[in-house]
Amino acid sequence: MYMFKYVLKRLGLMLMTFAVIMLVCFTLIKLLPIVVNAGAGEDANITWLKLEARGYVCNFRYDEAGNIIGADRVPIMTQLFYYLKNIFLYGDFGMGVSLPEYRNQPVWDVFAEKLPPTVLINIYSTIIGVPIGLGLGIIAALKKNTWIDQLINIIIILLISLPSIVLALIIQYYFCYKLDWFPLMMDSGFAYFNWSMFKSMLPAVFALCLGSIAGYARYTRAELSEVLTSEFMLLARTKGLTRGQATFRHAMRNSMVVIFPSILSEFIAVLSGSLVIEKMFSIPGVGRLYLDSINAQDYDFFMLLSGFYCLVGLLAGIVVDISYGFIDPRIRMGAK
Amino acid sequence: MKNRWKRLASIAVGCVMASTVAFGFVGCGDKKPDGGDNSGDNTTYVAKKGTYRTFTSVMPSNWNLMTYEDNNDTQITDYINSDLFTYDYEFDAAKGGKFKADGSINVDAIVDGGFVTQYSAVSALEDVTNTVDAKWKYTPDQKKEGGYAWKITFRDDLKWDDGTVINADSFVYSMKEQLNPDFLNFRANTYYQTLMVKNARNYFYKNTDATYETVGSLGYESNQAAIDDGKDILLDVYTFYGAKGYVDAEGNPVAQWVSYKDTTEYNAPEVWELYETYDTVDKQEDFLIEEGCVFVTGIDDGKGGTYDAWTNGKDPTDKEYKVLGKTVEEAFAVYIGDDLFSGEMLWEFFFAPGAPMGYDEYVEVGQPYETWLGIRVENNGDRTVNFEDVGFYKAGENSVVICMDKSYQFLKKDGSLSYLAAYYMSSLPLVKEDLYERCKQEPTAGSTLWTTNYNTSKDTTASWGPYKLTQFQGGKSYTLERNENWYGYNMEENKNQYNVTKITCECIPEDETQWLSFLKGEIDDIGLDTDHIADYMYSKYATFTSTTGTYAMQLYSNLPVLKNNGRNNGILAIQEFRKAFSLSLNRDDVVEKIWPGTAIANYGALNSLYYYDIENGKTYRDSVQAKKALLRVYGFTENADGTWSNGANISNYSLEDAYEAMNGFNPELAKELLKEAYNKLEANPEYYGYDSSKDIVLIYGTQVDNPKQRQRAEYLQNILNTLAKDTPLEGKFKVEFNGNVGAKWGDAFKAGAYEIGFGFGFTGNALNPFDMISAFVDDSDNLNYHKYWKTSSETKTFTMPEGDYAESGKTLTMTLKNWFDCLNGYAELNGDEYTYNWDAGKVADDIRLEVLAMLEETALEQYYSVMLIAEYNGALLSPKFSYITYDYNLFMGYGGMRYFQVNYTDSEWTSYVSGQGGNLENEYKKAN
Repeated sequence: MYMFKYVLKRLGLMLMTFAVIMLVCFTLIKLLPIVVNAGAGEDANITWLKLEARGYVCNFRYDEAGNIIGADRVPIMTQLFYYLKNIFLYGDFGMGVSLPEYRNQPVWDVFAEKLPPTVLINIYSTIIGVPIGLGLGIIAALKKNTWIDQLINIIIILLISLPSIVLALIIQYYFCYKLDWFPLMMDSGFAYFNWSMFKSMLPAVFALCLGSIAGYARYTRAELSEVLTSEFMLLARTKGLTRGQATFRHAMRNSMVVIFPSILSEFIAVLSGSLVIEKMFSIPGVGRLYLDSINAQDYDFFMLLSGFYCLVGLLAGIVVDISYGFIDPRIRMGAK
Repeated sequence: MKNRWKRLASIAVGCVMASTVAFGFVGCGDKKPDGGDNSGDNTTYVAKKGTYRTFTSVMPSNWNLMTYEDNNDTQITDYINSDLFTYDYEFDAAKGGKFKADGSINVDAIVDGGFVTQYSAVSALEDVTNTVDAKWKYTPDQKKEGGYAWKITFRDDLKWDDGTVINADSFVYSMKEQLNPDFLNFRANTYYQTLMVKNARNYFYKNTDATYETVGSLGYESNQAAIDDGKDILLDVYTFYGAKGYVDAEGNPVAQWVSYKDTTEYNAPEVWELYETYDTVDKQEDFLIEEGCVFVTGIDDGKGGTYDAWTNGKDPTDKEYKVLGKTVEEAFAVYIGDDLFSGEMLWEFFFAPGAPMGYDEYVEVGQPYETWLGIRVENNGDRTVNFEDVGFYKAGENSVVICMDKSYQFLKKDGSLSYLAAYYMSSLPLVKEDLYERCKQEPTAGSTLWTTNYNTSKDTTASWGPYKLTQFQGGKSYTLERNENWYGYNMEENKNQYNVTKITCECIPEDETQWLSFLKGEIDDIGLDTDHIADYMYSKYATFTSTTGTYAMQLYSNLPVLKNNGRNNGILAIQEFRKAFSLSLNRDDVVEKIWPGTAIANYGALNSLYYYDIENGKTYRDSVQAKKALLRVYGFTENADGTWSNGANISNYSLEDAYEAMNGFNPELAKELLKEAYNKLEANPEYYGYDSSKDIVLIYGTQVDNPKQRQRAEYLQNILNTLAKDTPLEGKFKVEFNGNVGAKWGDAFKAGAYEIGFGFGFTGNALNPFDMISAFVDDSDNLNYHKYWKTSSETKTFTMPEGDYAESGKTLTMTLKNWFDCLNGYAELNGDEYTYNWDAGKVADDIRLEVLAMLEETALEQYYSVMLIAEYNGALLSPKFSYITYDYNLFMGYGGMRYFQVNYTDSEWTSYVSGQGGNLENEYKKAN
């Protein structure tokens, strides 16, 4: 019951936080100055009038030649009212306006189309990275100060030191180009669950998960090394548990209090997409979308993506907090 | 703004031409469009077919011709639409014409640099200016001139890719939607700014602004009748009086239209200020004397008598001698250019019945200058401009008539097509009606704008071009395949062409991935950048092509901003310094160090790819006028015998030799100029905001921070160090790098956020150098990096060359902008003070070249733009394909997709790449 109330309370707070963040985002992006530039052969007045017709600006100012040179901003709260009305009454998150690759396209459709590759690569990266990382960490901890531990440490240091872009370059050049084990780019199409598509995702998955593997291994080694020297582990062994039983049933569970949140936060971080990795392997994901939407001042894209990432971040916080209770029975959220 | 669309049209032509190299298509033509044999008939030659695989860094999103906003979208629009008129190679009939006996293309017959303009989707074009309905109100002069109204007859076999017939109704519907005021489609201005279709603008903007209609168009017989009816007649004071920029006594700007009853007085702002400063007769007299004006007695009045008056102090034999007035007030007013007016004054003096100046009859209903008067018609909902009032209507099952406000000579005198037909009217809007209707999106809450997602995905796309869209994934890839319903495949002229059956395009934003993909044989073309040029410069698969890209070092020189930027760099406002900087740059070294293999040195404002005589292939840069202008800019003088010397190592060279020897590099003179600049700086430190105890900091700004850009900043630092060595400014210059000026780097430069823009310039508009010079001399042009240089007020005096035209031999003084407008026929439209029209066809090319060269010289002598390089594109094409000819043609490029020769079918190519070990790097490095 305590847990239930706690979760409800957290959800309520989360919604409040979400609303405040979104309000701030909406206000800030709308406060950016509107710059309309016409290229050769273009009529800037059309762009201004479209902004007016979309309900963004009003009261034009003209120069002597009749060109629109400025306008007043429609009150932000008025714009917010219509924005929310469109979402809640019609499920309409708006249209792409200024983002070059997505003009005149519903932002929700674009987002929904681009999210799966990012999520899949993230999941594959986690599925591959977590066991390898934990495994290496466990071996290093169990073989602490042996040559195996040293070797793993060297690998960890190497992988941590190299930025993902360098790893991606190495993978792409050697495994995709020289050895031809994988395609250079992700396959086209929406059939994500076939061997060809999976294979085409692997270079990006490796580029993403190698750094994570090092991180998981480092955390696991450090935590497990500490736990393995705890007195309760000695007690467990003296009770007759084998080393393996004691390690996996007791030491690992204790270590996970620190490791699990790091896995979750890594997952969320990668969920936002990697600009570099997506560019390099031509992955049609959301990586570039957020940054591009700010640069292009595409309000609807920015708001949808802000909302999504904000929500994911807030939910993750709750999930991580709750997960402590499952990992370590001594932790009970909300208990007095 | 007016006519700037012409540029886009030419840029579009440029894009088509460019795209022929990378992935473009040019439509096909046929002199007998209703006939034609299937390409397989009567031939023995069977060309290989294959898939062309290309890439893009940014995916297209909106390939709707009505709404597309950037060149990425034209990747698809070029393929799925047809040209109304198109260009083709000129084939020498004496060498057998276009086809060999076996049906293959007769490459040997291609005329170097030649081209022909052909009908494509249009089968006939007729000038109907004389015969269109009187409602279009063409004057007798316009009817005599012709070219205003054209009847366009389309082929009768035009179809959409699903077989739906396209006819005149389709085009009329599409034009109506293009101009639909509810949608505000982005490309509507093509039809009111470029082609100037009658009433197109009024219809398009009918929901938004008021218009000023002529008195006659509202049904009044005379101006007085309108006044009697209570209408307020307004005067276009911009056009008639040149009052643009004038203000009232409180500084409020005058509107373009002023009521005939309005008593508010307007004048030039500086005149108001002078009156405020010199507010008594004594002060005005002192002013006149200070300015060198003198009171002269006994001036000959030309009628045998004399009078006393103020003059400007010049000798009576001097061309600039001017009598100012008999009284101090009068002389003061004339001297300062007093131009006071009010609407009421103008009306009473010029336009009222019986006005002293007698202009009333010229502005009466139906008279030539009736447009100077107007009646404001509010667009408040009760006013309707119907599409029937727009100059585009159906004239038959397969024909339409387009009525324009400007004359276009689409046909030559012999009745054949002029290049202008394909230049200005390569396309008209065309959408598939049922699909377009389905794609319309109603305005959402808070908005009044209708939108459409037509041509944004595979399902919303219809094609009537040589290819159709068969796959599209946003941000990833698209595929185009042959559209078997395209009329062009049945045309005799197209047989054994379009051998590419499918085009796949992958979005590959990362440069390195593009290269690896190309080297693996997965894509068929790639541009050579500075990272790879050294390895592939001599590849037998490489082609190098000059482009119109003309780039400069832009030096921000607006003193008021420089003085306040805290960087102590007011020296940039001194012309001698900028010139010294220019003379310190060895362009050949710049090319070698900064743009190896991708550029050549360039000294002119326009590079050598700008054509002024299209039909005869003559470029501006090769003209005598252009060469002389450049020689003068770079320190040469013409001797009495017509030879040229530069006062240093070159004496008495012929024009050609001197031009050949010119390199714009003169470090000795540069040092002298720097010293002169320093002296000015020292003499007026406050004026230039100069603090001799501080360094002079120049910010080198770029959008991205990378080693190449930092190397350029370092390069410029070295140049300035060398320039300043052994001068009082030695060690004072510091070039600071800012790699974070943002995506709007151009705007940041124009605002003075940084001082050096290196490699900034423009490209496009190869067929109109006269218009392109606006990037330098039109302070309202978006391509102009130095808008603070007020060319709309800076005057230039120039003696017009002799010739068969009204201004022959006259010495004229106008603002640079006015010169530019006259050169392009914009002066009257833009309401300039002088409205000479030296547009193409109005005066001889030689006259126009003289004026253009004068404008170029004037602009370059400012050294705001220090010209550096002309772009030189290198590209590799995979062995799977070859061009039909490797001689670049202005209109055809290398023949584009239409003429691609397929050397390996898809399966053969797979085998070929496998045979190379899956890596073509060594193959691509092979020289001829």
